Amino acid sequence: MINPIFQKIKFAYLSAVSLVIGMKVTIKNFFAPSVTLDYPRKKQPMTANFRGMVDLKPDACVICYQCIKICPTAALYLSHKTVPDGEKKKNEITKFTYNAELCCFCGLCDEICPTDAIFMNKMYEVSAYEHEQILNIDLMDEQKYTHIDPKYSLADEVKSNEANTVGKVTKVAPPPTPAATTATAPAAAPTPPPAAAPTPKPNSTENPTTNPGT
Amino acid sequence: MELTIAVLSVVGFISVSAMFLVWGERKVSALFQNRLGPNVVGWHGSLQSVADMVKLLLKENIMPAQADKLVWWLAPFFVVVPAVAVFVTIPFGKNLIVHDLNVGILFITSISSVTVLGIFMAGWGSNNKYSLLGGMRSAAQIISYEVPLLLSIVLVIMETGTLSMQEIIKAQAHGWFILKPHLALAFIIYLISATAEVNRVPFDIPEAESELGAGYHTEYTGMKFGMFFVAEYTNLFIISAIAATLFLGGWQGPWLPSWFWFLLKAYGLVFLSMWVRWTLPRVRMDQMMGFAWKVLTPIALANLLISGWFMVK
Repeated sequence: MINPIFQKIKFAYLSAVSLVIGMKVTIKNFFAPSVTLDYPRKKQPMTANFRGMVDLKPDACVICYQCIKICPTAALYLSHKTVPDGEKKKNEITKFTYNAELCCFCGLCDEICPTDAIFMNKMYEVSAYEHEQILNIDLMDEQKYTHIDPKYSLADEVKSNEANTVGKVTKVAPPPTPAATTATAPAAAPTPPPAAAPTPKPNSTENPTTNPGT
Repeated sequence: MELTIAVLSVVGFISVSAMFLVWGERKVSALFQNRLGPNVVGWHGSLQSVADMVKLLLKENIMPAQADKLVWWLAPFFVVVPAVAVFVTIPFGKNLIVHDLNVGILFITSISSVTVLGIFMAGWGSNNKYSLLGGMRSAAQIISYEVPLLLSIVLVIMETGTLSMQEIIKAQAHGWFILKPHLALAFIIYLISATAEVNRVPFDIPEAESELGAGYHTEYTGMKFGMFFVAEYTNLFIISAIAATLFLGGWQGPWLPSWFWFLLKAYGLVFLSMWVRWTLPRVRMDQMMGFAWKVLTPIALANLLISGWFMVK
């Protein structure tokens, strides 16, 4: 007889205590900062290897056509002509366009580019009003995306791209000797980016390539 | 003339209060969940409810084909009118009351009981199983919780010997009723049963979104739905205002104007209600009815008996 009553009192007591504990938790969250963002007014920077629109540093391009070959959807178009440069000859891009409608944002062009001339920028508000606005974007143009985002600036995108190490080709370290390979345990080393084919030594000072994001 | 001013100010206060309570609820819930909540229309989204109200006013009024038309059409008024009528005798300040009825608290409790009729009419008239279930649950819940609610109010009436709201406040000039232990217990009982009366979490099973799809007002659109919404938040304010009047000394307080103290206490209790809402899960129907009849009513009765014994002795 006593036991059930005692159980009930204990139950009521525990319920009251749990209510107090729960309310303490909620009020703590009430004064905690918000985890969501006041989006259109405040924006979060994209991660280092975010793949936005395809962008180009025109001076860095060596016209190797690697990006054209690897592009799975044929979204890129490149043509060039040979012009005399003093005694020598040099290649000059005549047309380099990007079709955002075809692009599947795989980032292969970014990864394959030997000079990191072509890269994926950090744009994510890329809707356009006209179909033509995304069809043939002239990558050679400095102001290529200002019709989509008036605040677009190539210099800023290049700067933010520097944090992205995916597909960045740097001076490749010499292939490790078998002794060094066993000593430095390459299995534990971070996976190298696909473009830097030979496994770099993890402690190599010549190779700053790290792979934090992937 | 005086009556016109009173009616206009009460209606104005109700609409403004309800709209800002809707915004407040959304903002408070957002803060409790580490979100931002409405933040586009007006300062921190404070005009969001105004925009919503305009949207509701412009919406088409859709009536279910199989609805019991007259009952369906009348139900929102049966819910809104008691909520408005109760304001007649709520003392907002020292002299700020529409009419200080000498049966004030009795008037409030009897008028606000009509709400259950409107809710059940809405549930029945919609001719929808979820609405009917919601209406039935609501009727059962409101009638059950009316008992401990009234028993806790009766204790205050026994303490003061009057039904007039202003007299009850004046009786608390030398200490709020919540400071007395038996009335503090009555206050807790009042808060719990009042939360159930206005169908709020953890007692919101009549309009449980996840099982009944909003219950009795599922089939309502446009301003008819808006009326249920206004009535819901007005009732929330009313129970907080009554609790402030009966237990927290009403408009009494130092330095600041009396209406400010009253609104501070009332909205503080509203915030408490929102705080509980965003803390607790919903209880089961049988648990809730069991809690009303097996726990709250006996405690309220025992409280009434024991403190009555000491009052007479």
